[in-house]
Amino acid sequence: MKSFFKAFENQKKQKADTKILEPPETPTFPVSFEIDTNRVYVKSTLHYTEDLVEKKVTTGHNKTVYFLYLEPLSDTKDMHEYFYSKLRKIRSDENLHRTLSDMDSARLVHLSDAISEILSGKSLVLIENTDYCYLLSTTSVIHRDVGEPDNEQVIRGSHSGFVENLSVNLQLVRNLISHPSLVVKYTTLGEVSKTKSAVIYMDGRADPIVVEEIHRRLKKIKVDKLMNSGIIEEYMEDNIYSLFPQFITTERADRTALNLIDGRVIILTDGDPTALVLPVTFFSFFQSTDDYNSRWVAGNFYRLIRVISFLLAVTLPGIYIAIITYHYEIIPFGMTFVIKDAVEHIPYPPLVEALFMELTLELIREAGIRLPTPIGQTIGIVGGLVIGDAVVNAGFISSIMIIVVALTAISSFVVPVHEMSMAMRLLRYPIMIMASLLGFVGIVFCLTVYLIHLCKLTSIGKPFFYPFAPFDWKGLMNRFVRLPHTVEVKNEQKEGKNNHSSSS
Amino acid sequence: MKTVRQFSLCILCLILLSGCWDSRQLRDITIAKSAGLDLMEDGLYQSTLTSPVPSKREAPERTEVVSGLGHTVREARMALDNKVSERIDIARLRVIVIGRDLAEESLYNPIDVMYRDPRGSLGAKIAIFNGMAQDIISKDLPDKPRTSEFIADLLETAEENSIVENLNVQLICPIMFDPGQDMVIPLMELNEEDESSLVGNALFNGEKMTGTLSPEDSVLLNLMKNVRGRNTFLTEKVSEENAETEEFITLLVREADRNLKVDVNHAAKSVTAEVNLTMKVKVIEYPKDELHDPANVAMLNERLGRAFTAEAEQIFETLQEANCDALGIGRRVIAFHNQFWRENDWNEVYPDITIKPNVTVEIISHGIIN
Repeated sequence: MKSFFKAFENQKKQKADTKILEPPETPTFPVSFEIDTNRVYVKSTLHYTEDLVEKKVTTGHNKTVYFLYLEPLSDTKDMHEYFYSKLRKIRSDENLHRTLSDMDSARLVHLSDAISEILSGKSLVLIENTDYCYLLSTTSVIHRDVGEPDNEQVIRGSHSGFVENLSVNLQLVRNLISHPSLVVKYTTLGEVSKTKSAVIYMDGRADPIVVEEIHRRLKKIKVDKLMNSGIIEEYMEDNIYSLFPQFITTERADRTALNLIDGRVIILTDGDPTALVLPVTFFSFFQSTDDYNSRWVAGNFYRLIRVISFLLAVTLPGIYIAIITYHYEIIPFGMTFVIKDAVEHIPYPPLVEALFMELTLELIREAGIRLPTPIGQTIGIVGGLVIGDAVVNAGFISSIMIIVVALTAISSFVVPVHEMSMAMRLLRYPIMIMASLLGFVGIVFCLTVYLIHLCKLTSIGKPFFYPFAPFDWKGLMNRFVRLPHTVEVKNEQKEGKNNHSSSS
Repeated sequence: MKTVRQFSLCILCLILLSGCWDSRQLRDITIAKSAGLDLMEDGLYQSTLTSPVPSKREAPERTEVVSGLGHTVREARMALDNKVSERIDIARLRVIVIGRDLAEESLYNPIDVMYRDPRGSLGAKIAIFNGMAQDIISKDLPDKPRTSEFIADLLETAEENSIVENLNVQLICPIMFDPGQDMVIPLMELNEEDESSLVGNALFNGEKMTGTLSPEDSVLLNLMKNVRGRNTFLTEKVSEENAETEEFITLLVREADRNLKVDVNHAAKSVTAEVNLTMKVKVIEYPKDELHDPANVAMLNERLGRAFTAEAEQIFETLQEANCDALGIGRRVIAFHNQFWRENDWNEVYPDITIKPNVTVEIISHGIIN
C-alpha cells in the first residue's frame, strides 16, 4: 500500500504552467452599526454588479431593513408570505428578530462571511443599528426533471437518472438506500467555480483506506478550471497514461446504489449528472443493471456476449489482416475462394484498406453524435449506404473488409460504458499495425502487452483485473458470473462483513 | 527516461526490420485446389495443378490447368511456376491424385514434398487414378465447375458408405511406414462415357500399388477393418444356388463388431488369423418380404452369413495376392509374437498365411412393413 502511495505522488509532478488565479482573500469585516457602511461593503465586494437587488422596507416601529440578494439566484416568493405581510404588525425589535428567526435563517456577525452565501442565492437582511445580520434561505433551484439517461437505458428497472443538481441526486440515492450507514461528505472543489461535490459511501462496507485515499486526492485538486467529473476522474486515477478507464461513470441512480451496497465509493459533483464509481474492476464495465433484472441465465449469456464483443472489437480487424497477409491456410476450404475473389483486385495492402475503413467509420460516428437527429439519420444513410456500397463497387475496399469493419463497429458499441468502448476502439489500431507486420505473432505480442498492462493496473490501489489477476474463484463467482440472487457465495475478501450481492 | 527511449527504439527496430518479410498476400497467390502427379515414360515426373478462376462479370467460372515436368516433384512445380503469373501455393490443396504408373513405382516419392513443407496441405484427400492423373484433374465437368470439389465430395460420400476409409495425406503416412500394415487407397477411373467415377480401392504393399479391389468387396473389407461409415449398405444374393429367380437383399449395417485373433505356430512357421465379424443389420429392400416369420429370418441370417463368409475369403485371397496386409495382422505379430517377427520377413510370410473369416449376420429390423 505504501509503495503505491509513493507511486501516486511521483506521478503528480505538475507543471505550474498556468498561474493559479487566487481569488482575493476577503478580510473579515464585522457588521457595523452604520447600515450604509454595510451596504457599501457588500456592493463593493460584489463589484457593483447590477443583478444585486436592494430592497428597503420599514417595519411598524420605523426601523429600516434592507434586503440584499442576487436576483437570478433567489426566489423571493416566500418572502412576501412570511415577511412583508407581517411587517406592519412588527412593533418591536424583539418581534422583528422573532419573525426573522422563525424563517429559515442564520444570524451572522461578520459581513465577510455573508458574501459567499449571497453568491449561493441567499438573501442578506441588514437592520439599522444592529451589529449583526441575517441570512435568509431564498435559494431558487433550477433542475430538469428526473428522467432516464439517454446513454444508459435499460429495458426493465428504474428509469430515474441523475440531474445537474447535487441535492436532487443525493435524494435519489437516499431514496434507494434508507440506511443510517450511508455517509455523505461534502468538499468544495475548484478555485473559481467553487463546485460542491459529495463523496458518498456506506460506512462499514467501503474500505476505509480507499475512502481516506479519495479524500486525500480530492484535497490535491487545485485548478481554476470549471469543475466537472472528468477533471476529478483524472486526479483520481492511478495511471493517467492508461487507455483503460479506471472508473465507471454512471447517471443511473440504481446503479449507483448497487455500487454503494457493494462497498464502493461514489463521487458526485454539483452541475454534473455523472457519478464516479470507484474502485472498479475491468469486468465491471461489462455489467449492466439489466443483468440483475433479467433472468439469471439470460443475464449471464448477455454478459458473455459483451466480453466476447470486447475481444472481437479489439482483434477482429487485426485477425482479418493477419489472415489475408500471412496465414491464408487457416481459411476453411469452402471460403478460400470467396475471400480470394474479394481481395483479388484491391490495389493496396490490407492494413491501408483497414485503416481507411476504420477511420471512415470513426468519422461517420463522430459526425453523427453532434448532429440533430434528422440530419444524423442522413449521415447514417450517406455513410452506411453510399460510402459502404460505392467503395466496394469502385474496388477500393473488399466486401469482406466491410463486413469485418461493420462487425467490429457493432461490437464496440455493445459495452454498456462509453469510456470503455472508446478504449476498445483505440486498442484496435496497434493490433492492426502489428498484425500487418508480423501476422498472428504480432497480435499475440500486442495482446500480451495489453494483458500485462491490465494486470499491473490498479484503481485506487485495488487490482483492476481482479477476479483473474489476482485469481480468486469466489470473486469470479460473485462478479464475473451472475448467479441467481438466492445463491450466495461467501467472499472472504470482505471478512467480518455481511454478504454482499455482487453488483455492477 | 534514456533507457526507456533506447528500449523502445530497439523494439521498434526489431519489429519494423523483421516484420513483413514472410507476408504472402492472398491476392498475389494462385491457390491450387487439386493436384495430379504422373510418371511419364521417360522417367520424368509431371505435376498438374488446377486453380479455379472466378466468374467475372459475364465470363463463367473456369479452371486454370497447368502442367510441368521435372526430375523431382519440386522441379516439376518450379516448371509450373514459370507458366503461371502469380506464385502457386499448395497449402489449400483439396485433393491429390496419383497416376497408376507412379503409384506402382512408389507413392511416397511424389508426396514427400508435402510432408516436408510446413505449409503442406496434410488434410488433402488422396486418390489413385487408373491412367494419367492429368486426365481426371483437367477434365471439365458439365455440372460441377470445380473438379477438385467433385472428387473430394465423391470420396467423402464413399467414406459414408464405407467404400473407402477416411484418408488424407497425413493419415496414410503412419500406415505407409508401418511394416505390419498396408494402405488401401481409393481408386478412380474414367469409364466408357468419359465420366470419372470411383471404382474401388487400390491395394498397396509398402509404398507400391499391387492390386485393386471392387467397391462391393471394399465395403466388406472396411467392415472387417472395423471401419464403418454412417450409411453402410450391403447387397447380397440370398436365393438358392439352383433357384429359378435370383433374389437379392439390401441391408443397412447398424452395428459391426470385428474380432481378430492371430495365432503363430513357430515350429511350422505358419500364421493363422481368425477374423470374426458380427453384424446387426436392418433390411432396407427385400421384395419377397416374409420377415415377420422368425424361421424365415433365421434362414436369411444363416444364408447371409455363409454368403458373406465366402465373399470375405475371396477378398483375403485378393489381398494376399497383392501382398497387402490391410487388416494389420502384422501389427499383432509384432506385438505378441515378436520373436517370430524378427526371424522372418513378413513380406514373404504374409501371402501364405491362413486367414479364416467368419461372418455372422443378425437381422434386427426390417423397415416399417410388417
